[in-house]
Amino acid sequence: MTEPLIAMSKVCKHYQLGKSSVPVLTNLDMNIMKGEFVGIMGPSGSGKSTTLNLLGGLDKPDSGTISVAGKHVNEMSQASLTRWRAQEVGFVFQAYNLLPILSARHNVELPLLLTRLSRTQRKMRTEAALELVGLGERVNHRPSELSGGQQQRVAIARAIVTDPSFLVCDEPTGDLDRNSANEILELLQLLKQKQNKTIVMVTHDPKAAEYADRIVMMDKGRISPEEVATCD
Amino acid sequence: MRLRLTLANLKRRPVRTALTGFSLITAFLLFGLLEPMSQMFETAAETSDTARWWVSPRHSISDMLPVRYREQVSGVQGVENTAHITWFGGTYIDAQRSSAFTRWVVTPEAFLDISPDIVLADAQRDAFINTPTGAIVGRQIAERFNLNVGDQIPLTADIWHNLDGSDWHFDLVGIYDSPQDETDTTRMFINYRYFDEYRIVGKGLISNVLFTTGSVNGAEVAKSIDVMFANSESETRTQSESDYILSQVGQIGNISFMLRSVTAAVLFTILLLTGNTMAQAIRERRNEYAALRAMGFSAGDLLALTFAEAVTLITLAAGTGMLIAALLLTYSDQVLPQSSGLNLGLPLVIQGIGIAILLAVIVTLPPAIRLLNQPIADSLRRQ
Ligand SMILES: Nc1ncnc2c1ncn2[C@@H]1O[C@H](COP(=O)(O)OP(=O)(O)O)[C@@H](O)[C@H]1O
Ligand SMILES: [Mg+2]
Repeated sequence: MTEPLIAMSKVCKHYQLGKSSVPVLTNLDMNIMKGEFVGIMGPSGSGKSTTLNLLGGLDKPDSGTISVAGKHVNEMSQASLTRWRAQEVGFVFQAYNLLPILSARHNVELPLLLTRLSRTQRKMRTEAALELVGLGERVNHRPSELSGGQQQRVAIARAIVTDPSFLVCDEPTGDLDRNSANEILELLQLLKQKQNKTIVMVTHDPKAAEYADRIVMMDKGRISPEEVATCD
Repeated sequence: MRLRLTLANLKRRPVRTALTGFSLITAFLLFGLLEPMSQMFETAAETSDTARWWVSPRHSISDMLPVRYREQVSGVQGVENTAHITWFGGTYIDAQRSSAFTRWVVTPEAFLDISPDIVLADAQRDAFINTPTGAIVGRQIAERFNLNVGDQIPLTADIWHNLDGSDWHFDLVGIYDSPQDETDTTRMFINYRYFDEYRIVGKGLISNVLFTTGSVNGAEVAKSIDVMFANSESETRTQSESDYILSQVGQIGNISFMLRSVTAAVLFTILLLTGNTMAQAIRERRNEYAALRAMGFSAGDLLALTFAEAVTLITLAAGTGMLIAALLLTYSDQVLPQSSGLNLGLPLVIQGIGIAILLAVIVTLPPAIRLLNQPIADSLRRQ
């Protein structure tokens, strides 16, 4: 059996709300193989986004280990986490989070500014990513001139342009109509098939199950069904 | 690309950027106009040579003193050297620039003896003393009007008309410098001999008697001079040079302070205004900055980006404002009959740019740091 690309083990996370401590994740274990397309589902507030943030290195767990491709993400300093994110992780958000002032093309080019690539190389990579998501002629338009589905395509192109080892997508179809949502799910599936991308996607969309390899159900900070446990 | 991002950010809300830019331009225009004024008032008082004393008509500066007052002053106990000086006025006859310097009539030898702030080559000094129609001008004036020793300087009179009814013509016999960089060399001095002989009215009248006292207490001497001329046809007021200049331009200290206060108030207002605008602009970008940080942009990168935007806007506006101020000052020098002597020198421009950069730091750092201190996950969470 091969090593998983992502391994979370006994991960605990709580938030401090005033004086009370709110446990969000309790002893969460999760393994994701390279090239896998995993959907995470569950009720609101069950800790799905928190899990994605920990996987993507946007936040750190209270305890437990998170390793990605053999690296212990939970032990990295803020500075190296920032660098690690730039190289290894692609983010796709529900609200797209594009820069409204830049054209689609320049939005996609943004993450490449953190690399040593030349201007020409950046341009080629950007073109390739845009080609892959199939935005067509609208690459010179601003986000406000694009439909939701098109904006999410731009966001996906931006997430893959640096060729990261995995994508984390937090409700990527949450703001989209049925047709656009299907197209985005198809695109993610295509990325997995053609580029062997590992994808972790939080979703409320029941259709997502048709596209993902596997669905993980979360409830109250745990992967159900499992026995109840507590963190220290 | 980073430049593109900065410019794109500025174009994000064109109306807001334009309004902020316009207020900034206005503020720095005021800075560029008021600051040279308050500096001029200050340096006028500071650089004057307090060793010199001025005897003026008591009641009005347009009154005159009889030239024999000079001899009477030199007879007073404690007086060392004396000279006299008379305001010429007039207009320099030049195609474009009517009159950008002041003109005074003096007795060359005595005047130069008590004027260490005028540096003149020996030969030129002799020529000035020995040429009844001679005149000298300061280096700045000579350069500005391209005047050379040997030139004739034509002047149209407004107070002192020439006996033969034509314009005055003086022979330029020297160009003086100043021992200190800061002291102005923008005056013209004319030999009293020819002037007094050829003026139609007022022969034997002068504006002021100047004297030095050496080590003696000048205030005592000044008092005894004023007492000596009390109840005469021309009563006098005797003041040290710095006091004399102060009284000429009014309450300089206050004017300078007032001008500075206006500048400070304007800059403070602009600080609040720009600060508010920047804070708002940065708050609006919460989600974008969160996405950029998720992508791997460091807090330092985003801080630099934000700062670049503010500094671009503020220094551009500051530069424009000061440029307009400089143009206005130059223009006013050309059209006003009397040179204002005001200009926006390099040190002031540097000071202005410094203020602009400081302003950019103050308005961007606090809101940007506040935003970047938030955990990324929190910033990404939608309200
Ligand atoms: N920064 C925070 N401070 C306090 N509570 C938080 C914070 N972030 C998330 N939570 C809480 O943690 C729980 C899990 O949140 P989240 O991971 O976003 O759930 P999901 O994505 O499954 O809806 C929720 O109850 C939420 O209110
Ligand atoms: Mg969520």
